[in-house]
Amino acid sequence: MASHLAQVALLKKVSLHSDDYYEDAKPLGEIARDAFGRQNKAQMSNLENIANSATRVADILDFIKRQTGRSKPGSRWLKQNFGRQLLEYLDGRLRKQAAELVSEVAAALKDSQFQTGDKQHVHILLCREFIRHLMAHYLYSLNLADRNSEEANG
Amino acid sequence: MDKDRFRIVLREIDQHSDALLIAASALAERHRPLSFSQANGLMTVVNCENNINTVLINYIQRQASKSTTRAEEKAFWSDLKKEVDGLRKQADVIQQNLGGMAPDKKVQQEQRNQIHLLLARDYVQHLVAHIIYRSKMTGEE
Repeated sequence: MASHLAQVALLKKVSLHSDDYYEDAKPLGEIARDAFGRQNKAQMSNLENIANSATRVADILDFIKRQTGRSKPGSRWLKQNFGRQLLEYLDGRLRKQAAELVSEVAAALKDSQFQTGDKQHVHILLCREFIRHLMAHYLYSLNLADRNSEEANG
Repeated sequence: MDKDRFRIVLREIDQHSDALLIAASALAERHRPLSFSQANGLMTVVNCENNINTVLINYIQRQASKSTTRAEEKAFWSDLKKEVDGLRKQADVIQQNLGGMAPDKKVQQEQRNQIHLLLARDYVQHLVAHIIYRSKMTGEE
């Protein structure tokens, strides 16, 4: 396990990266709005709950895969390839970034105590950050869509 | 296995989850495997069964040797057996990392079998999720 100092440095790096995810989460949040609307909001809440309670990224990925596999063509998780895009982001980009963050901190602190568990921990923290932004964008764009339709109607 | 040790074992298995996910996804990609219900059936058996050898011999091996099974399905089941068998080595490593092994060989083997079963459950969870996902992505459903 990494030293306390290394863990603090990792957490700081995670929060810095979290800002970058804000923009990336926007388009996916809009796809989620089209895919789930208000009726299937529970799908997004479940995703957020799993992300916050899971101890491994694999559980989040399994959830997305199962939900995508159960969706009807062109709807929910299959709408505009929402499930696939989310999987690629979490499993591809964030996994790579987690590895980079851990090696940066290890090099900076000349700490060789890092283990696979540290990389996995950073990866899950990054996933939680991204999903938090995604949920915020989804809820915001749901509200925005409601307001637009109210204005259009009268 | 007492509660504390069980918790430590689960934490150790968590560390292997990425590797298990990659291996399980690769197996699902290599074959055109199971239908939804077969996949869910496999998961139910692995989750309900308390003995790893029963899972391996009475279920997976039997599926592979059934006369009604298609050739490509047989290949999947025998590959799955190899993969699940291979988890025994990981179970050994986890058991050795944990230390504090029971002096009795039989108890040691029982504990290793329990770890092996937990690894198999994790592997099958990833496998089934990937099978369900892939069937929709490739339109095989």
